[in-house]
Amino acid sequence: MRLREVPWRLVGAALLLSAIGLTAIWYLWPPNPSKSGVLGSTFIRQVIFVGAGAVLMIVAALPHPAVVRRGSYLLYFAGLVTLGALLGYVDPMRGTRGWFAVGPFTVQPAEFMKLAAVLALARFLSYGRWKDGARGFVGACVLAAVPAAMIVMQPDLGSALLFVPILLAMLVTAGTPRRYLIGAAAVLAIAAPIAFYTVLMPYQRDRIVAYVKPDAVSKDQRYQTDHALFATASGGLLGRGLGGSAASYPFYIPDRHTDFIFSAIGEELGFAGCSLVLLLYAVILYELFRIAWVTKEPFGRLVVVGVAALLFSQVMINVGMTVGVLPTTGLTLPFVSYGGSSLVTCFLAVGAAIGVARHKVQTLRRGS
Amino acid sequence: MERRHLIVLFAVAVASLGCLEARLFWLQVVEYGEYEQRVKARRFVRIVEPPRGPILDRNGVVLARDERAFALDVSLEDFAKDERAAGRLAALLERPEAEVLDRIEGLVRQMNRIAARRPEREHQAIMRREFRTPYPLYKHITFEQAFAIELNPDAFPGLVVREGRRRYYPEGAWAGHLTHYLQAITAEDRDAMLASRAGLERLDGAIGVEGVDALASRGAFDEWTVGRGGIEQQYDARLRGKPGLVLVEKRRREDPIEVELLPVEPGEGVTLTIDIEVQRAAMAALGSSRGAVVVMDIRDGSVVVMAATPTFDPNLFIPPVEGNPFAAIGEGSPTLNRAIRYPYPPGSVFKPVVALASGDASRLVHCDGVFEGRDRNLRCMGTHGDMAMVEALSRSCNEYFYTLGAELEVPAMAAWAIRMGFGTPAGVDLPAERDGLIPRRGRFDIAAMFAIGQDKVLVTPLQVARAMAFVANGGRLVRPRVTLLQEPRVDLNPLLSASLLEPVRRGMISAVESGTARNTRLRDFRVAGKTGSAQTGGGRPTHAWFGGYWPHDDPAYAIAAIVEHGGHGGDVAAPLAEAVIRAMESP
Repeated sequence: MRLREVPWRLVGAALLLSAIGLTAIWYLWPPNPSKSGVLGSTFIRQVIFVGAGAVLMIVAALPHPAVVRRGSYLLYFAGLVTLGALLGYVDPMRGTRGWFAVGPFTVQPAEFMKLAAVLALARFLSYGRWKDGARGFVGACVLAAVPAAMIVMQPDLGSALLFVPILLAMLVTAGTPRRYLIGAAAVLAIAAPIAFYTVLMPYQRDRIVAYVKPDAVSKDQRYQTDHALFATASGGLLGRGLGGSAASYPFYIPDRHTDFIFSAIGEELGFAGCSLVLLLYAVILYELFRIAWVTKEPFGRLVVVGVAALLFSQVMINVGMTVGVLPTTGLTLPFVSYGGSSLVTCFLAVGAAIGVARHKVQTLRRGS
Repeated sequence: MERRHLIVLFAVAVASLGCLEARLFWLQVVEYGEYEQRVKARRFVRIVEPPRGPILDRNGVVLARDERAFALDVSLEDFAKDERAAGRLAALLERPEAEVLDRIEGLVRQMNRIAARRPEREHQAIMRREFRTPYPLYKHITFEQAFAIELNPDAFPGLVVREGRRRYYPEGAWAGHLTHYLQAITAEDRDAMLASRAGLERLDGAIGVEGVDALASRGAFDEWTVGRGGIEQQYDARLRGKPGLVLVEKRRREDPIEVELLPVEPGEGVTLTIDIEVQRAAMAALGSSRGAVVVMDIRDGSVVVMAATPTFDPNLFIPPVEGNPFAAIGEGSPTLNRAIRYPYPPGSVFKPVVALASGDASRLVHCDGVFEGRDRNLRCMGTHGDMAMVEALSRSCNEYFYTLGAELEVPAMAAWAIRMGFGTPAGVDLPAERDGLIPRRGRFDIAAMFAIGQDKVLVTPLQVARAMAFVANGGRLVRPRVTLLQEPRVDLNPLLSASLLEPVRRGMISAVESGTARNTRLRDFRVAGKTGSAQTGGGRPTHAWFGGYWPHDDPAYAIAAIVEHGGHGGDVAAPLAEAVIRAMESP
């Protein structure tokens, strides 16, 4: 067990973010055993999720990347099958077909699919002469597009969108010729407005319209985003102090403990708290890139880049939404938001990166 | 693959984070003042109650509608600052000051309950917040009082007038049984609604489940009214509509801004099949006696008249309620709709059922006034000699039916009764319809009494009308309805043939022309019918019944009329039916 090779800063940042998330949830939803039972409490559930996530992180870090590589396609297809079963057989709950229940918990396969897609793409792009050519490019695009399309049908636009930066980052790392990337960007630019009118659901369209032209949308649709913004801004430099947010509103912002948890942090811990959170993500980002930098082995490098793109894009979109820079999507904040599937996926992702770090083949130093 | 690409990606990522950080800086440090203002501004979400749909008769006459009313909310922070405000308010509303103070105390208790749900350290902040929030204080104030409060904000600090609605029944007691009334929602109903979220989906979608619950704990739903009985209850969801949400923002020294968060969906109206003009005539004809009249379309079951006396004025039940309305409306269970909720012994109106059960129109029975039963002798009202079915129905000969009954025995007759809709609720779209009672067993004397509609048989006037419709429309059981919203349902009974029905019809036509109902002008309207005088025991007069349909050559409507303890059916119920039919047929 090469403990020296474990990137402890990475682990520390992830756990610290989880701790911040737990603190915020504690103050938002203090456990009330008499009301909903121990297992019903949001806080307790998140504790369980963090615990499970940490354990799984270690489990994911154990195998050699070559082993992981061999299982990549299997995991990918397992994910596709699960998504397909969801679309085909499960009744829409709350209007989406994105989750199913396992005992007292809910599972969101889309989250795990993101990681499985990273693994599959990493394997696809890591070896082979054709990977630099058109076939490699198109193949990778298809590999990413299929699960993305299935997720869009749930409908979950936000999660599906993540596949774009993930694919892009991995293609760049794999050395795809620039012309292909530019061509893809052009296709996207054309496809986006078409998709806007045909593929998107009305409420998703409304969210984008609300972002671009706030006055064109009725107030109740902007309610959540407006108030999240006010809440975040009202924290000022140092915030209202922990627990300061719940008492100030005679009503609640929906989903404060999931998608909009950053607004709670903003309100309670202010600019200082928000900056701390962003700093921790920057640390994670740095550590991941450091691992990618020193890893010679293509599969490992691609996995780490994919993980980085996965986590980073999600942070950008979630925080961007909370501060009003981006339209509303249903994405959670990695490690911080309440949500079992999201949390476990992030820990697994970090675990995979740690696995790469532990087993890395040292790049040859010049001259040695 | 080259490592320099990694640098590019990393640089892009860092730059993006930098942008977010800059944005945060802008919001939380630079623009902080502006947002702090907005948060400090008092912002409340208010539920807007939707206008309730009207109830109309078939010709559009309004039977229930909303009229304008005013309610009073209080924001304690300002109200409590002025010591004499409570006194001034009490004087204006002409209520004792102690009552005002009592209500205020109740509100504070409610706020404490809300604060108790959160950890101790938040209590102070929560109480401050609740004191700033408007709470309902008085549900009904007059226009003048509302006006005075609006014009003198300094004298009445912290008081906000809210315009609302109140239910009004223009026809009052004439349609009382049909409309019934509204009642304030009970705590159990409200809790059940919050648990099931029924009707709250739009609200949940707008401000979240927690938001709605927060409003509920502040009493937003406590003033809601729910239909209790009649159409108000049966179609409550449709009449109620869907509530809306309004966001009120009040910054210091500025007028409050109201922004509609969620539009209200007004309730939809309900149109009845009842004709209020004929209904009024029927009620007038019943007068001060107790009883009921039902007139029903035989093809689709639409009820044109459902009159029951005694009746009540539903306006007495609409809040604010003075005293006990049940004491004010008198005795005899006036809120009980005798057309559907009071099963009576049918007496001779039941005989057509037995006639159909026997199926043998030509069979002769000799009536000598006394039927020798197994355990005792049963009387007939007269000595009719040799009787066949038509005559027996026309003259309502008991001995004929005693004979039939003892032979058929109860199970066979009961089967026919059930086929004709007795013993189960008819399915009209009103709540609490009774099913009556059809015994299933009996022989000899019991069967004989069953055959003349006595023994333990119990039916409602609606069921009798339905059975008359059955005879009129060739053996189809229709489901009655009082609104156009319930789909007509007609069951064709395959066992019935014309030859089976014909003698029964002729018997009923004859009853009106020369039989027990001959002392009326019913024949002018070509009515076919059957009288009944149901024994009630205890030496009291019999219930007077009449059931029939018209016109007998091309039937359109069925009618059933009963006068409790009215005496002889032909003398009391038949003229009552005639008066109603006359009202219906007059242009």
